[in-house]
Amino acid sequence: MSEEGSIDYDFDEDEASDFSFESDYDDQNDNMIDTPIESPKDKTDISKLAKFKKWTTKEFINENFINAAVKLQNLQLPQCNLEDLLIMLHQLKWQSEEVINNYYDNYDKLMNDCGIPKVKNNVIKEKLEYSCPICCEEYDNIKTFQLSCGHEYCINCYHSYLKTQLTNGQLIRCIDTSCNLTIPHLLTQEIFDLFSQDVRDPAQDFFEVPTANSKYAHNMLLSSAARSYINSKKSKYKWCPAPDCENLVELVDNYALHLDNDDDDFDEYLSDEESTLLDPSTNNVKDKSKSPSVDRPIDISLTPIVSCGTDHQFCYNCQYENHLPCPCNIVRSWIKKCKDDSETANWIEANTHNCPKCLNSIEKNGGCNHMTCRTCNYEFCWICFKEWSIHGSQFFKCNNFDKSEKDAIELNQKQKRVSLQRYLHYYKRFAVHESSMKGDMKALDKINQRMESFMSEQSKQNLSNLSWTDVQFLKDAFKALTNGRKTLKWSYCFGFYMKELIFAEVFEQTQEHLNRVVEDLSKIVEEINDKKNNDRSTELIMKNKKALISLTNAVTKGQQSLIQCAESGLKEERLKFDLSI
Amino acid sequence: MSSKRINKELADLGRDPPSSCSAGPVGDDLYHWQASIMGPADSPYAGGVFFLSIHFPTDYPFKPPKIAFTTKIYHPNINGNGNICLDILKDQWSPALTISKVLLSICSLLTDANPDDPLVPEIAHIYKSDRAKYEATAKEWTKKYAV
Repeated sequence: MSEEGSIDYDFDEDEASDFSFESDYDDQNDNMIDTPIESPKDKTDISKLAKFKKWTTKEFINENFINAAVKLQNLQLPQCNLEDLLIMLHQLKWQSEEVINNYYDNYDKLMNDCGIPKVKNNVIKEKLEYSCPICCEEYDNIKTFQLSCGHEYCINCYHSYLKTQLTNGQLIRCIDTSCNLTIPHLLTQEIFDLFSQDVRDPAQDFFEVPTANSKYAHNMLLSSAARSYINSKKSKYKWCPAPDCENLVELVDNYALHLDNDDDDFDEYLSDEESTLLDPSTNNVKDKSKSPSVDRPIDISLTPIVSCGTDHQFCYNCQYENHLPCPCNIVRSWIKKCKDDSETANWIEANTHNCPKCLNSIEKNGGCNHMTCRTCNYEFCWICFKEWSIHGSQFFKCNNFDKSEKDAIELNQKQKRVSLQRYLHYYKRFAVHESSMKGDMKALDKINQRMESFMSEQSKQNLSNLSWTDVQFLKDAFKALTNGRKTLKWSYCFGFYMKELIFAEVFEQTQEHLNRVVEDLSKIVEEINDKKNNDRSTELIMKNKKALISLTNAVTKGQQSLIQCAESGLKEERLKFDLSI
Repeated sequence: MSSKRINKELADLGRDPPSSCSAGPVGDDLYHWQASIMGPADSPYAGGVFFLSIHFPTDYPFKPPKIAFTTKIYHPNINGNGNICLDILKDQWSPALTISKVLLSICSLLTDANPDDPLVPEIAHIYKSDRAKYEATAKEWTKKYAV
């Protein structure tokens, strides 16, 4: 009897669908002096296409929400308090003019819509022997909360309620269904703070002069409002896609940039006249209907690579990390390819057969050709896929062999295998650089920490007069390495879709060169970080300073020339993509 | 925490049952109830008894209960799987609402359908264009599935 079984679907799927972003450098390096080294972003002049502005979420809230309210109060509506103005702005989607118009046109309606009562009496108080109608708990001693309406509930319920209401970014009203009163922004935070574990550093608050902005500095409701506001204007604002990064980039002016995922308000940035002038490089969906952009040369220098406040670079169009030298449409199909299980399906096609009866996939991993399907117990011959019983009870001899049928199956399998191998070749390299990037990041992080403690030690003892500028090369190495890896990573995606033209060889050589210098740089970093060299790491760093600097330059140059090579190759149509792969 | 609240609702339903509805746990699972609604007299569902399943999420009452008809019903806001399109079961849910209040809302949805926000557009279309046909079909379904 043979061994057989259903095939295992574990094929790399998870890994393939799970790209991650890595920060270009860590927060703790922010205090180092920033002298921008030349990066592909600096080279590509996208300022001709559009004007961008960087925001942190906090800055965004300060400027667009809190300062908007302060301005309204100072210039237009001094009779209102700030908290009420914030509620009005929130209710009217942060449009100051709307607030002013509604305020003068129909004051009563505005107050009613906003849930602002004439007399305010919001209380959080201690209560003895209270039974909460929401959770039905009987408390001996509990804090309760009520707005001016007097609908009183226990603070635990209010806390849970606020947490669930935070998700939609809207104003939060009294729990009672018939009551429209709004819980002011400051009060929501007060309730959250009652449950918050981390106590804010009092020293920090001590130095801060309490201003309108600092009062609202950690307001979760405003953060949630900012999220939903920004998400509702997708073409104007893009979040930085790096993990845990809360920065965003605003498209301030659009001269000639066009994006794939337009939403409705995009049109205000783009007149019809402009849109016809657009370059087809990113294969705009909108454009596709108008002109067959596929045939025109691609210009990757027009890829809108922007940088968020903490220097993560990303593509404003795809909202994906800096993917040069790949143009956006190639990135899109690569991500799709890696995400769907089309390659899993290919593998199954190439390496398994279906049970002729129940069509379950079977991988034969040894044994004779007398197969018994584990699922349906059908017995068949692995060679001709016909019922086993017709083969007689003698020793195995398959006379039902039809060569042409068999050849067709084998040819099909072979093609599938080749295509799978090709994909895996590029995917593996793509993935290796992605994971190496994480490794490098950790190593560089450690080195930086060590350097920092070394420096502070030195300055304490007045041993040397090293300054931060003297170790700037480390930070540069850090940046160059991650950027180089990123470009390399995407160059394999590029390679996968590249047609086999003569110029492709030039591209591959440039790629190979970058690969080599990146690995050299990475090796030094690894060596410095090796546990064996723990005691002499700073010594090693200084010893390798020259090598580090020259390799940093080599990597940066290599990275630029690879992108340039792709850019000019595509422009002159010496490089072409085959999206049918 | 939610079990106290659900028990309280159960006790309240026993003490003061709403007219034309009933509800209670299925077996030992406090978080899975069955409910029944009598077809309102002034609707084509009159005479029918409709069963519903109720699942309480663990964070009830801060998240709405999941309620669906298990009896087939012809209605513009209730689809073939028994899912109900009702605002208070979605974004308009409030912890101050109870199962009893929700069941009453479903009763009034049976009397007054909301064809402008339909779950089944075909039924909504008939409801608006040929009310008599809608009522006849609803009556027929009631007779067939709910009596």
